[in-house]
Order: sequence, then structure tokens, then C-alpha cells
Amino acid sequence: MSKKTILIADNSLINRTYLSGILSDEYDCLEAVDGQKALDILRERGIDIAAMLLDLVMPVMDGYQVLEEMSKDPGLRQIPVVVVTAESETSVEARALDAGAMDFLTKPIEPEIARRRIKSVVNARELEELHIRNRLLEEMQYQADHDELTGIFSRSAFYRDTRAMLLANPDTDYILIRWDIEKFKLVNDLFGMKTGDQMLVAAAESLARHVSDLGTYGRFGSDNFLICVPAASLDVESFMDVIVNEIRSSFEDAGIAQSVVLATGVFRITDHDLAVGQMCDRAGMALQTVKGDYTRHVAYYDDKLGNRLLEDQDILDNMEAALANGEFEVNLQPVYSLSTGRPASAEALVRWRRPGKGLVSPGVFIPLFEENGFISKMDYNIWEQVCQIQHMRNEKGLTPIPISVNLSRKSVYDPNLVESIVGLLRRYEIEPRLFRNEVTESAYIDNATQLIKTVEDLQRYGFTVLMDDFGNGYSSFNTLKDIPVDILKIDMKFMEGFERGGRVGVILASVLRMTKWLGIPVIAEGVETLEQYEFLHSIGCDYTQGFYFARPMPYDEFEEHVAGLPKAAITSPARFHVDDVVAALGSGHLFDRVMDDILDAYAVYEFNASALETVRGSEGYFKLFGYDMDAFKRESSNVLHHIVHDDREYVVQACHEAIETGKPCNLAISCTVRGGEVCRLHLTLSCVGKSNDETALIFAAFHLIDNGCEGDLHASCPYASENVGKHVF
Amino acid sequence: MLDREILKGAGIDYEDGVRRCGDNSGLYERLLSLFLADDNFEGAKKGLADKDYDELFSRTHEIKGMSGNMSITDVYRTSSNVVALLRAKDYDAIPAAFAELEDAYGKATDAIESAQG
Repeated sequence: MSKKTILIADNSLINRTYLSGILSDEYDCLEAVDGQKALDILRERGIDIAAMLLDLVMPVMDGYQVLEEMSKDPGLRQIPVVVVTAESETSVEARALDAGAMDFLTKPIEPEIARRRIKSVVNARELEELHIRNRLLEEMQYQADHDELTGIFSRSAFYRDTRAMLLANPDTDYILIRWDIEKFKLVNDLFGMKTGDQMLVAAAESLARHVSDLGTYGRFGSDNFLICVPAASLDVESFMDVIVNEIRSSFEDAGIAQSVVLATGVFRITDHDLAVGQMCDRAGMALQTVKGDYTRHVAYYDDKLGNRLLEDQDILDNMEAALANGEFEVNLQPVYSLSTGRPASAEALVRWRRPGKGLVSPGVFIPLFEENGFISKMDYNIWEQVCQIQHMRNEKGLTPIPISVNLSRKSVYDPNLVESIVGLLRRYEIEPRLFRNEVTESAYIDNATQLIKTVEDLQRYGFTVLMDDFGNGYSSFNTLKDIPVDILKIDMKFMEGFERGGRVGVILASVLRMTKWLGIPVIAEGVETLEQYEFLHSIGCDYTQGFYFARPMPYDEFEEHVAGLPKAAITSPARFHVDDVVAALGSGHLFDRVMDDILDAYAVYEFNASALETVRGSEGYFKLFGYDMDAFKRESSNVLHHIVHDDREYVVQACHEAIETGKPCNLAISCTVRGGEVCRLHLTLSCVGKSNDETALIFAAFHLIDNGCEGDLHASCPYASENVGKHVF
Repeated sequence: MLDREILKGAGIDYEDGVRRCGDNSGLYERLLSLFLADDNFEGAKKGLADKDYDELFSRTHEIKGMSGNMSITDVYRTSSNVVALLRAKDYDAIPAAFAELEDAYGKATDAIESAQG
């Protein structure tokens, strides 16, 4: 153990030599010739100096002055001083002690006395310092061990205590529970940090009350708490119920009107040697899986979870390199037009093939990339690949096929999005119509205004925008109303069993009718079976995409596939559905003119066994039967009601005949027309179309035979007798 | 090793001096050498000549302390005398007392010198 250092301050060389001489076997001696030098050394060496022997009478600065300076300086105050006085004089000694000296020595110095006094002064100082240091350590330890806010154990103390508990009980099975309060941040934000803190203290108290007899507990940080107890000592779900109820009470008492939900992760301790910190990490991983899930509140860690998280981390660690290596490939899935049998477009999908690891499911990496923002880089890479494909196809003079790309949520909200895409297209000399953009409907929920702006911006540049995943549960009608999309994509996976008809089928058919009226083409995505395909076709869906037709494939395969398609690879069914015609009739401009402008009475009916429902009628027709246009629009009318009872059967028979033979059928009937008159009418019926389920479309032309009708009707009725027998259509 | 007899003749109590040095004769002899080089006596003499009694006081006081510690007994006695007179402000008696000091001082330094051989 090295010697302590003492400082000898005396202007006399002999005195200094003497004192050094008698003390140097026990101490390292430093010397100063006057008060100022003594202070300089003290300041330089500070706490190194265990004591100072100070002569009172010195030039430049005497002993008293030195003492005074020392008492002013907190760094020097605690260095013990033994003054050396020339003679034994109480007043001198007293003054020295008052000035801060700890003890004194009177000349002539007795060496033993000198040694002893110095030793005792040095020891006394050491003891004091030890006490101070101990007290400080104790305080620090307490601070470290105890969470400042709640007073329960802090994270490190919890680790220590839990470790001790596990060591002491090697044969007991323990569980480690980690839980936090969902959306606790809101409490702080809405009610203030002080209230938030109070709630945490209450939660800690709750924990202390219930766990102190069972095991260890502590606060991990913020609103995150830890418990370690024998597995047999409690049932996690019931226990957490008790805790949450107590926390709810404290919330109520504090006037916080916020529901309390706890998310809990549990780690079953099988290996007592695992570091407690790691156990907490794993419980934390399990906790993460129920965060925000309002149906599940407790999750147990298992290796699968751990592995998944390791996998996720592996993906995150390698994503940049993967991008640089070109591991993200574009695969194209064709969208077929059923009427032409050829691809109308293709959707670009990302595939990630990792060397040595195979394909990574987009379901795994896309959410990760969305979360950490990497998705923007990946998106851009995909768009560029698509541009390269289109450029190549242009160069080769192939028939242009538009390709659509998916815009991630992040891209949609990127103010530079349109600029980026336009820039890419310019670079590769691609027309906007060949680069379509798919936006998922759920992006609408987050920030509708921004989404609308993005879509409008894209359209302004000439891009076609598709809404993806339409109808999967968000407010579909509002969406269509507000977002100006060009094409809708409906994923058949949301329409479970639609091909079997029933409610889902009817809803789908209605949606398709609605979109037709709006002039929005629909692509049915995820079509996997022939049945699905036929149903879709029958309700008027022209565009389909799905495994039934073709899987997503790399570009070369895609090109081969397209080239290899015969002209009419997909045969259209011989029959077309009623609604197709209705739609056609409904939206065709020419036919509008035909039906609306001329005064002849024509109508299109939907015929089934018991009714002839008017689907569309000309103005003349309405006039004839006295229908109110608005009333007609509200409810379709079974024209059989207007036909006199006995003739109804004839009409029905004639319809059947027209349907079976495919040729027009003529007959004369009596009808009640406007005004209640009964008129004789000549009727020509043609079958325009027939569907699977026995409904058919009948086109009817009416001619007035008997103008027993009176008044205005006759005057305006163009069916003068001279027109009898003429077919206008 | 110094000749103690010579030192004794000048009133230097060698054994006591060594004892005071924690039985370290080497230290004591070093101190005696330093005594030879000490300039306090010269300073005292000048002080007396200048009738600068403060200077005389502090110098003889130093000599007193030194000599006491080193068991240079005659010098100790005579310097203590001068100090006492100065304290009593008995300035007239000082020259005589100082002469005694000077005498003892000279004997001591001579003895040390010759003892060193």
C-alpha cells in the first residue's frame, strides 16, 4: 500500500529537513517554503494530500493566511492541518484551531508526538471521508434500486432480485410477466404528466399489494411493469383482471374517462440460467403481439414467436443489400378481358428471392417495410423495373399492355410521388397510359384529403388510377363518392362463396350494376375457379385476374404467355346476361335517343314465369300506358297487370315462343291504357337475351289497332290505323 | 561519524539531538551541516546593528527554535535570553545578551566544523 503524502510548509530549510527526516519513513513528504507555495501545491495535488504541517510564521503568506484561504476553498477545506507553533502559547494555539487547524505541534518538536498527532489527524480525516463515501454510495444504490417515481424496484434491482430468487429456488417453475397500459400516452397528453404519474404510482401500489408475497416486481420504465412469480402461484389472466380493475378504479377516482386496457406478455422460465434481461426481452416480444389487439390481451412467448422476430430482424438487417443486389423482382399477373380473351393489362407484383433462402412472403416483408419506411425505396425500384419492361416492349414493337403498380401507403402520402413517377417515365420514354397506379382503399381511411389530392394529381398527368381491395370492409360508398378512381378492383377473397349466389352474389351483382352506371370498369381479382369466372361473367364483369387464368410470373414468362395465347383463348358464353343488355341499353347513347326521343311505344321487359317487368321504355310507351317517369324509376312495373285478364296467358305463351324459337312473335291483345280505356294493341315480341335462371329479355313494340282511345291520347298518338302492320324496329 | 566530544564542548548534546531525530544520526548530522549554512545569525546581527528590533526578534526567534530542536543548548539558552529581552522591550540589555549569543553561536559552528573533520 503506497504511502500517503503530507505537505510540510515552513520557510526554514532546517525545519523542513527535520520534519521530512522524521516522517519520510511513513509518508511521502512534499515541501513548501512559504504560504503561497503551500497553497499552490495544495491546489495542484488536492485530495492527494493526507495532511499538512504548517508553520505559522512564514514570509509572503503566513500560516493564518493559509488557513483562511483554505477555509474559503471547498476543494481544500477538508485537508487536515497541523500547525507548528514556536512556543506553547494558548492564544496562538487557540487562534490556529479557530482558523481551521485540526491540531498543533509546539517546537521543539518531539518526534513521537509529531508522528502520533499527524497519524491521528490523517486517520480522522480518512474515517470521515469513508463515511461520506458510504453515505453517497448508499444513496446512489437506493436511487438505482428504486424507481424514483413509484418507489418500487427499478429495472436493475428487479433483475438482481429476480436472479437471486431464481438461484435460491432452482426447482420451482417461474413465469415472468411484462405488461403495460395501452395508449397510456393519451393520459399524459390529455390529463397532464402529473395525473399520469399518479396513475403509475397507483398501478405500482397495486402490484406491490398483490405480488410482494409471491415474488418480485418492478417497473421496467414508463408504463411498463415486470413481475416474476412461481408459475403455480397465480393464473395470469385472472391476475391481470384484478390489476386492470384496480387501475380502472384509480382512473375513475381521478376523473379520467378513458378505458383501461392492459397488454401482457408472459415468458415461461424453463432455463434458470438465462439472463433476466433476456427473459424480459422475450416477454416484451410476446407483449408486442397483443398491443393494439383488442380481442387478445395476454400472449405467451414461444419459440415460433421468437423465430419470427429473429426472421424479421434478419430481413431488416439485409434489406438494403437485397435492394442493391436486385433481389426484388417484378412479376406480372395478367388481367384478362373476357370479351376479347386477351390481357387488357397486367399487375406488377414484387417477389423477393433471397440467395440461399428462397422466396420471402410479401405478407412478411411488406408490413415490415411499411413500418420502417424502406417501402419507398422498394416501391421506386419496382416502378423503375416496370418502366424498363415497358421501354423494352416499346423497342420491340410489341402491342402495348398497360402495367399497374401498387402504391404503398407511404408513397401515397409522399408529396414528391408524382414527381418521382413522372421523372421515371420521362427517363424511359413511357406514356402515362402504360403505367397505371393502384391505390388500396384502406389508404383512404388514414388521410382522405391527401389521398384524393394524390389521385387527382396522378390523373392530371394522364395516369390511370385503380382502387385496389375495394369493398373489403371500409366505407365503400363514401370512397367512390369522394375519390375519382378510374378502375375498381374487387378481391374475390372478400366475397366468400359469391359464386354460389345467395346474398353475397346479389351484393356483388348490385355493385357491378352500380359501377356500370358510373362508368367505372371493374376488375375481379383473385378468381380461382371456373364457377367463379362464370358467375362473374354472368353478372357483367368483363375483367378478371387470378390463378384460374394465370399466376404472377417473371417478365420473360409473361411475354411468352401473352404471345402464346390464341386469338380467342377464353370463350365467351353463347348467352349473355340480362343485366348486360340492361346495362348496354341503359348506358348506350344511341339507344337512349331511340328510346327517349321517338314517340313510338317500345319497351324492354325482363320476363320470368310470372311477370313481364318493364326495364326500359320509350316516351311513347309511357304515354300509352300513362306511366309517370319518376314512378317508373322508383318501381318497375309488371305490364301484365295492364293486360286484360284473358289475354295475359297469350302474352306469356308468346314470350315463351319468342324465347324458344328466337324469332319475333306477333299477337293482338287488349290493354288498359291511360285514362282507364281499354284499347286493342298489336304486339311484337322478340327475345333479346336469356340467362341461366330462366329470365329473358323481351323487346316489345306496340301498335294501336283500335283507336277506341279518346282525347289527347288519340291526337298525339302516332299509331294511326295506317301504321298497322308496320314494324318500325 | 562526528566527534561527539568536540560537539559536547560547545554545548551540543549529540545524543539528545539524535533522539530528537527519531534516533536517526544521519539526519541529525545533516541538520548540523545545515546549521552551518544557516543565515539567521547574520540577519540577526544586521538587525541589531540597524536597531531593527522586529528583524532582530524574528531572527533570534528562529535561532531559538532551531537550536532547541537540535539540542544546541548554549545557543538555545542565549537566544532565548535575547528573545525574552526583546519581548520585554529591554533594548538596553540586548547588546550584552547578544554578545553572549554570538559567542555561543561561534563556538557551536566551530565545533561542528571541526567535528566534521
